[in-house]
Amino acid sequence: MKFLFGILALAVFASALAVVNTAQQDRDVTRALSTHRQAIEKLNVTYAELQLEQGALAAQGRVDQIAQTRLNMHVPSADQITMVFR
Amino acid sequence: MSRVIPAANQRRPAPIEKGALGRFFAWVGGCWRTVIVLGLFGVLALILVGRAVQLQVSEQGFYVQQGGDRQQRAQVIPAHRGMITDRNGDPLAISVPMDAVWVNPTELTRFYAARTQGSARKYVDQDPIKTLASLLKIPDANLRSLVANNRSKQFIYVQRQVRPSVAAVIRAARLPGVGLQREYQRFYPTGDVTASLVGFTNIDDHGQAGLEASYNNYLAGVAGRRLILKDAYGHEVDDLGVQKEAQPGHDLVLSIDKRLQYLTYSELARGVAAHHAEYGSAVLMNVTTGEVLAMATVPSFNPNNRATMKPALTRNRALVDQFEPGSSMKPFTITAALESGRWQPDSTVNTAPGWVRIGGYTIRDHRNYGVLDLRGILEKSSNVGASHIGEDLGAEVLWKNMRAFGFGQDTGVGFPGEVAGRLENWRQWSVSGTAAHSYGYGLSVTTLQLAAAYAALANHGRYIHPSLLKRDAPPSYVQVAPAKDCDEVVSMLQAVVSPEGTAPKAQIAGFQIAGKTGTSRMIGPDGTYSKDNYNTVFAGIAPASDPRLVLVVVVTDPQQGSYYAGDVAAPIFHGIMSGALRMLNIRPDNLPNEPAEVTAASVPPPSTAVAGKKQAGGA
Repeated sequence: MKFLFGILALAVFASALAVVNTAQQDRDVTRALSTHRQAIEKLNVTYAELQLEQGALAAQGRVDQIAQTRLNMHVPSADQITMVFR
Repeated sequence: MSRVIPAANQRRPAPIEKGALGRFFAWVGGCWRTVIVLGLFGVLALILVGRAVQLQVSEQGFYVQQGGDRQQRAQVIPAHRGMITDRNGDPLAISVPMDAVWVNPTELTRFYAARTQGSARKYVDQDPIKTLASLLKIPDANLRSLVANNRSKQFIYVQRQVRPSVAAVIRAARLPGVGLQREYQRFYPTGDVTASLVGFTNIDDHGQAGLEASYNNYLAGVAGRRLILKDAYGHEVDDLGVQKEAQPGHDLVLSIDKRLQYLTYSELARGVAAHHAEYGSAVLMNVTTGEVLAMATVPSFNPNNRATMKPALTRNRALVDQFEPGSSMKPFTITAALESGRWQPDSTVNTAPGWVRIGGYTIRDHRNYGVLDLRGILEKSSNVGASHIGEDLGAEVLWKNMRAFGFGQDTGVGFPGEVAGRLENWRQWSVSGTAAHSYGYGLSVTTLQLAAAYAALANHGRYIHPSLLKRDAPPSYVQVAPAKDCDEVVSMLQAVVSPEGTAPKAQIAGFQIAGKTGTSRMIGPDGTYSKDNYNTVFAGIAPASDPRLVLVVVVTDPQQGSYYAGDVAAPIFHGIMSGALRMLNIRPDNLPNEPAEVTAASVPPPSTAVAGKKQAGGA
């Protein structure tokens, strides 16, 4: 009987320690989660800014102008085109 | 036991040796001091236990709440507005996170008062207003007077839509009485090219015009809320669950193709400028799906700069403006004529002497065209010929045909301010009105309506409701006219772009083009037709042998040079359509020297090909 009580007392003590440990782990994991959430948010901001930058750099008007002025390109006229049919 | 003692015996001293209670009293009598002390301790213990019960059980709710108020925080789960993209996923409108900077004037006033009194000695070298002003690059005095003038307020915006990089510096400075609030700013990478179609939002990210307004609920995100627990250092230590799920806005995928849109807009803008026209609009449609590939309005505006925005320029002319289509309605009159069975493609009308009086009005052609067949009526755009056919068919037949092709009805694209045009019931048409309708006067249409009707003509008589959103499944259609009659009319319309037709400038080398011009007088402020102001239309189908694209170009009130649609709208059509056919890799259907089978290996060197094509494309 006494032996059984001893075992139970130990088990109670051990589980109490386990609860403390789990609570601490929970906090650590939660903190990590919130850090990651902030990281996601930051990445979203960056992504939106990059999309915007891409949109500005790849704007048709800009591409058109650079192609014509800096790269000296032009739309081929009908007699400069060879059609290849498949 | 003492209870059973009869009343008569009560005065007698209780027998000491009897019962447990008796023994207890006897013992107390022996050591009563101990009893008092123990009793006191017992009572104290009871009080403590009682207090504990009171705190833990009966008043638990109150303390949990109080604790929560000090440690719990409601965290906003951000949900931003969905993107608007073109059909290939290229963004046309993006929300970028920004921050609004606000101050609490009350707190700032208190801070400065405390600082001058010296009670907050450690802040003595701090000047939050000065720091904030320098970070935001605004004059120090402005901010000071803003705070001074709103002394009693708790919240006032200093600057909105501050870039996140600047906001991060302000946040790091930890200024008292200064706060940041997350908000979003809408950017339109394509700017004025898509402005009138996409529309814009206000500073609070609500759609105000265009598709931004009509799909506001679909695009808008609803921010959620999560309860968290913070420790003394401000770290998040526990997630108490989501109170409200965030609903991010949906992305809206338009049917627009960014490249075609740019082409359409720039060609239209060039044409409108060259002819000193008041404004212009153009709609490019996919014949088989009813999708609008490009929709442009000129002049346009820059949606990224609200300061330069003029309300008049934000109109989407292709949808909210209606005009009399003029001769561009004639193909539908001819379709009705063929459908009635009373007319055959080779039927002829004598249009001599070039004018006719119907119902008290004189209808004129440019000159006397003599006897014309149906193709000739379209080629020369003979009002007299169309009137004769209209008279023969009668108002009801004409009206039913126009209704079927979608005139006078909502197109169903769901654009704010879109008009349905005007097509009066045939019972209200006068005799001259019937004739007028047959050549496109007396009714008004929008550019999109005209494009959708031409698409139905090109699509073998199948009317498909146009769409500004990308379609994944093949749309349903309504057969509004017999396929063979529509194909016949499309083939007749090729004569219009021939050198003898009204719009040779719309011809595109290598392709068969079908189209129709429309030059109509505008109604002046006095309610009569003006002699100086014209509306020019060109509606075209390409390639005519297997229609893929329909393009309608409308240029209103050209003041420079010719005012005929063949000289104003047709060249713009040529510019846009030739580019669109090239970009979409549509196979030319009019190459006389096309070999039956050519592989890359057997392609002749360019110099000889050039010579061959040059002869071919001379038409």
